[in-house]
Amino acid sequence: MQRWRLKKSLFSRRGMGLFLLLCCSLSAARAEDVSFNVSAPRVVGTGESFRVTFSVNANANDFTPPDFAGFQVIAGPSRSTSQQVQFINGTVSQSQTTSFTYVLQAQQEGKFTLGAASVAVDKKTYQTQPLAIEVVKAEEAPQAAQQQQVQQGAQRAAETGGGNDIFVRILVSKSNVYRGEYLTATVKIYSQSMNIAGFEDVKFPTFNGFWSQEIEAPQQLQFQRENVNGKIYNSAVVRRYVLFPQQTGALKIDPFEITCALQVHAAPRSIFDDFFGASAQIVRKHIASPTVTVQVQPLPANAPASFAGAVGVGFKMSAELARDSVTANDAASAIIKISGEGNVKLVDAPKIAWPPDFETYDVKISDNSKTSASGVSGSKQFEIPFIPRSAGTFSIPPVEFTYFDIAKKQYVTITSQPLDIRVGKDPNAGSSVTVGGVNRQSVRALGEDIRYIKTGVPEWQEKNSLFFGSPLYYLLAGAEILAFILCYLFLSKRRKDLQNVVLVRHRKANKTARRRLNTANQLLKSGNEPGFYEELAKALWGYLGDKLAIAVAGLSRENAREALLNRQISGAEAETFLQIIDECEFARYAPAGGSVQMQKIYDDAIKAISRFEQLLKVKN
Amino acid sequence: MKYRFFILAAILLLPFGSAATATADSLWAQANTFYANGQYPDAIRVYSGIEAAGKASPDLYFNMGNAYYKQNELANAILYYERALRLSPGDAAIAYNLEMAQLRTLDRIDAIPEFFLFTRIRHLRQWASADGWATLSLFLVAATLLCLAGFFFIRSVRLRKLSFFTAAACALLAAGSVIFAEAQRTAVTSRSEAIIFPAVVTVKSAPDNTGKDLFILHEGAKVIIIDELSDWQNIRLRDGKEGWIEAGNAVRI
Repeated sequence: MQRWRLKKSLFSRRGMGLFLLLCCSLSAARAEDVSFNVSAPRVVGTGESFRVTFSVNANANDFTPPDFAGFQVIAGPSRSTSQQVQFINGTVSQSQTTSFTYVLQAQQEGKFTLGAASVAVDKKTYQTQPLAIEVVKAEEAPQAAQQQQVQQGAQRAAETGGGNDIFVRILVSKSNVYRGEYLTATVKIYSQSMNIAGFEDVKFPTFNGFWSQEIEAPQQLQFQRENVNGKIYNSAVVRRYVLFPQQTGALKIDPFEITCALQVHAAPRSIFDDFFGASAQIVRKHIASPTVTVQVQPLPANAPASFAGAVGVGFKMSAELARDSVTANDAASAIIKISGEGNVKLVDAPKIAWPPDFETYDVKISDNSKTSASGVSGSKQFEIPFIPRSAGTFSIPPVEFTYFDIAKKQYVTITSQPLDIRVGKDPNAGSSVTVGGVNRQSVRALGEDIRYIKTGVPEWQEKNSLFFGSPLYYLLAGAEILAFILCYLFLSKRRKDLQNVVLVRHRKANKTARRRLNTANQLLKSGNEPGFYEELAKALWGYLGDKLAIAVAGLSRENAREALLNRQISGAEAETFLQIIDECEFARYAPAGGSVQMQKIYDDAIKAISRFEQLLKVKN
Repeated sequence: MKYRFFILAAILLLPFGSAATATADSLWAQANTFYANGQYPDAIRVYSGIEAAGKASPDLYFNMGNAYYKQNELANAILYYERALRLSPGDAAIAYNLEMAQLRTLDRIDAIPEFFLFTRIRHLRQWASADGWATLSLFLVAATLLCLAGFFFIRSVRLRKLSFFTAAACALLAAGSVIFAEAQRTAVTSRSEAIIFPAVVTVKSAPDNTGKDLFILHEGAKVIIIDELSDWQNIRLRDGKEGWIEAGNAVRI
């Protein structure tokens, strides 16, 4: 709609075919960015004519000038319009400027304010800012202005030879600050005449003890008139810095040094000199600014623990979690935003008291602060990524941020609300176990699984019941011991009985043998030879059997010999004894020796038994 | 085998015991089927039913541990594996699954280095349960008495010597197994060991909330409860650290 009207007006005004063509492709006829400015020198001398120009970057109607009280309007308004059409990379842009110019003359010294002028663009009214103009007493010869005409040149040159003052200085916005409080330092050059041909050997201050940031470094110096001690100077900003003192005490700012090449008009030697420009000479002048001292006070000592160097005015802090519900081992982040006016750039992230099981990573800082002549303002955002390692509901204590308020001259602490977070169970915890970060033994069971359940029918037992210590246990133990005791008693009794029989036989062996020998003796006397030998053999065998605890039926020559040898009786002795038995046995079946033989064997038998009685007694 | 005496006695003394056992057997089969089909919550429900009926078995605890493990309930899984291991200390499958579950806990607690002999003895002790050692002790007592009888009644000097020393050895072993049985019984009945259940527990220096935070424990950590004071329990870790936690955070094995 607006564009259409604009096109139409262009067409009606110019009525040119070219514009018809342009209108088809004009895409950026910007009526929206209207700026309406006034430009005039800030300082003028009495009786000096100067221009005041109101300019608007659109086609404007209904211009209403301000009240020029204190000034005399010499000429104007003169309206001029300029139009610019640009083709850049195939796009066409158009700009238009309308300006209204007055020529005024100051009548008397003092400070005057030009009120707001208004203009209408597309039925919208725009106003200029009021402009203060200072009128000072004119010097004997009026100071040359930028717009001065060529004819006045000769006259000006003659005057500036003497009062041609030029200097630089550093202006600080505050000379008494707290540590960390910002101030601006402006390096300005002042010149009474406009005869600066160039600069050499520029040396900017280093600002030791400050954190400095350049905020303005114009490519071309913009000279403006300024009143310095009642004199009109043309001043220009060379550099502008924002400074944050980092040390306390009297901090000195080094001087700004510059060598200016000045154009000096020599006295013309001929009338042609000036005309050809030969009378101008270049003179180099080294100038330096005076040293500026800034008093920096330390911050009060009672700083809270959460103070991390923020100094300024109107700080705000917000802390929140990107999500308030996550699962374990899932990444999340906490966002802390700090905004305010002051050293926002230098603010550190406030500390968060994380629950012990949270892993945090490097803070991501996005600085959105702007540095301007009015200090540093804006916001700084800290994004703190973290990973909760276990499930649960956690409440992170409120985040505290303390700054030193310059206006109140005290520490101000801002506290956020507590941050609550619900951490759910890790849904992937079972499938692939990768517990990272936490000091954990290396996961060596990847891809393995637990052993399968037991499917066999178990032997059920009652809960919390034990066989050990139960009555049954003691019963069984007692039964074992009882059985042993019974066995022992039975066996020992039997052995005792058995041992008694043997002992009796052993003790009575001699007696029994002697009884048999007596019987044999009677048979010897009666001449019963077979009976004698039989009785004698029985006596000898019986004796051996009784002594060796072997049943007579089980006795043989071999086992008797062995038993005797076992009883440590020499082979010869045993053989002697057995020889007698052999002789008896032999004589029993083949009696031949008669009574002499019988008597000999009988005596041998008695001797042998006596001998063995001794031998076996000793051994037993 | 180990419990045959007991089973025999139980059957003789409790006429209803066999009926209860039959129910437990059918529930056991049912729960195992649930487990096999992946219905772990149902399996846990039925296993817990058997447990609630007063039945116990290392196999039951082992299967419960498995079901809890599959449900990602780590603390419960470890608790039941530990209980199973109490009843059947030498079971390799239980030990393996317990280790698997412990691998997934967050706390690595290194035990204080122990004199190697104690470790050996402890391992030896855990070779069998209290009842296992008790049964063994009965056999050893019987063997001792038998050898003693041999010593008394065998005539051969060599055999008598042999039987005397065998009897002495058996007597020593019997005494040892009784000591082990007693130690195992104390370990089971004292129930001083416990498993941490919540995801995170802060261990305090004193039995109240104002105590200093000493360290944190995670789900599944094993602690030894050495003292109790109102609602607080004094715990010790295997690495010697001690502190207080609120009762209810740890479940006794």
